[in-house]
Amino acid sequence: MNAFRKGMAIPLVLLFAMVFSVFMFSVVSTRTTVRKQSLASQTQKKAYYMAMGAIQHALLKLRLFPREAYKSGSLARGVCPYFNLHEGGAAISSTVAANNVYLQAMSIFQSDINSTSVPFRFSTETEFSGAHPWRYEISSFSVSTYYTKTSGTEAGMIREVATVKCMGYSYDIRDSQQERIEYVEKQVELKRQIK
Amino acid sequence: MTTRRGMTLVEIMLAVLIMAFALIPIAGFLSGSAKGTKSDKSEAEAMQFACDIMDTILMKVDFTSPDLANNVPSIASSADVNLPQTQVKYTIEVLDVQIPDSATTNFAVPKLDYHDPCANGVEINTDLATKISTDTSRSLFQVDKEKLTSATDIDLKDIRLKVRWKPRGSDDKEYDVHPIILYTRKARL
Repeated sequence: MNAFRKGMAIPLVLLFAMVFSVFMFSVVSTRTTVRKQSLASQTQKKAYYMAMGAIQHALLKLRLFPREAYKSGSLARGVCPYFNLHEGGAAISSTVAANNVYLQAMSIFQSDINSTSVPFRFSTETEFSGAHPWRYEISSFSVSTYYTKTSGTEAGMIREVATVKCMGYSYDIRDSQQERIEYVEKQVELKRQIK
Repeated sequence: MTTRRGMTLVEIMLAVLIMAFALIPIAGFLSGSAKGTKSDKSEAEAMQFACDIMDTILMKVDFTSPDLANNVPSIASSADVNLPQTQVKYTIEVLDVQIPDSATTNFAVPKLDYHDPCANGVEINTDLATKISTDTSRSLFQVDKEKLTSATDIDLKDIRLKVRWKPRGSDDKEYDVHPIILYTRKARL
């Protein structure tokens, strides 16, 4: 009996050490996981607001150059932008996908909707330099058009629907990821009266 | 039975001493972990606060105000705010975007020469490539006579929000440990 009681010390210490190690490991592991998720979420938010900036940039361009946007969007769909929609429904070219020329105008239109062409005034800040600078760019810009009514108050009204997809990039040195990317899509409708 | 001995006072004191030494780093670890968790919660709260400000600026504030941040009663350009678990100090900077090289020609715009519409609107123009080029002569003043006010104004503002934060009751030095910085742009639409 005595021999047994003397032998309990080491197992008890080992058991205590093991239980405590498991406890500490779980605390560290949980906190690390939560921390990673939190940092990822925050960096993602930063990228989101960069992408929102891109959307604003794209919408400004759409406001300043609505006709160019419309023409570019028409060509990208294979529709002649000079076709009078009053004369009938416009068909869409089946050869658009095979011909980059149709996308040329839209390519020019969206070529400067990025934070490199029009840099941030805060570009001297550390966020905008280094290997992973914060930035944004447009991933797609499409304009589709449809004619609404032939009579009534909206007769001759053209509705232009523009869909803008932008990407924002951000980076946090504490985050495990090289950089975070956020996609934002916005659809707007413009009305245009044909006279 | 006579061989069984109780523990002496010295043995107990020694055991307590060893236990105390073992508990010091453990207590430090637990304390640090609790502090870290509190800090994480505060950072998340500060981030949510920052996002709320940015959303308000983007969605509700009128572009025409020279100071975007002061155009909504609930937002000042800088302020101290007490959140449930966090104290924050924030500043909003707003700057007009300037065109890098030229005030008149820097937006890339396609120039499309007129050509006859094809049957039913289908674009089958074989020499389309020759009719599309970059328009490099467009003056932004011509494009937007009403709203452009200066040679460098392109109706776009850069916004920088800096939120310095610390958990409630902690040292003021923590304000500058991990400030939250967000950037975006706002256009006159």
